Amino acid sequence: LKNKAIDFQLKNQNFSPVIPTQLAIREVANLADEFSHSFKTQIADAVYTHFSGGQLTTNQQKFLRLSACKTILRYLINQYQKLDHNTEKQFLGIEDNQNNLQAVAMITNTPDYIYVNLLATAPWNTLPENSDPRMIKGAGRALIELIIKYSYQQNSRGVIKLSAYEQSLSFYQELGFIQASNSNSKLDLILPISLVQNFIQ
Amino acid sequence: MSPEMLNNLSLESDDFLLACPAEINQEIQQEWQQIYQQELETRQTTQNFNHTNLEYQNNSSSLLAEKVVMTVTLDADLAQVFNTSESVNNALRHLLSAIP
Repeated sequence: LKNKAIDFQLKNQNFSPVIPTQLAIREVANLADEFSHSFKTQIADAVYTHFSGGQLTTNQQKFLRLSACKTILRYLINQYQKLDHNTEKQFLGIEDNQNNLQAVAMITNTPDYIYVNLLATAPWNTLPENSDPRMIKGAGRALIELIIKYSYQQNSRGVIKLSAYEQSLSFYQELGFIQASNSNSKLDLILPISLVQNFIQ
Repeated sequence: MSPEMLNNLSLESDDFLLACPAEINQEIQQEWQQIYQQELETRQTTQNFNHTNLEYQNNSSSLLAEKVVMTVTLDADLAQVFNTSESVNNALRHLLSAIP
């Protein structure tokens, strides 16, 4: 089943599906730590503005996301280490044409839908423009497309559910995600069946 | 949203798609709270120092007119160079202006 996931063709030719190794995720997570350390001052400035109620600049928003990305990637690698071979959880990723892991997710198979436990783009994608040669746009969206296609193949009809990171909410809404009807949290999202075909075709 | 719009979105927009359970969202917020507290303290310390420094600079012209007689013992090597009250005062003012 895992190998089938990497046979999918994605709409954006810059990306290919991949089953990421623990080492690949660890490298990306370590880089997120390094970036966070390098941009410590900028992150502190962005956090200060955020909590002071000030208007965040575009770059400040990016530094906040870098900080969040670091934490999520750290969780991803911790979860990988704890992974039970019999679990319904698994990892899916997207890599670019130079085999850089550009986005990674941990998902759980259920009979009715795929739940995205954790999802993060590579940390360089959260940096200001032209900061890193590996930076690429659309990796997160390509990974969502892959997960939907995988869900479709698994007879879950392409249904995926997830809890959005707060500041990513608008990006999910742009893709068509809406609040799950059985949740009180605006961050618990589901992609309506009517929109699944847009990704499958 | 049409498939064309989705394709354009993937190529042209930033996409910061992160997903995590509520408890990780909370952990991120707690981590930021700590960063905020540290940043707040740093900024307050810097602000206090700048305020003190500014007060000194504002008052220094009036203080210039005043002379305070006090005895300070210099080491021999310094006394050779700074052998007048004026040279000591000038050196100390240069030192103060170099502190950010």
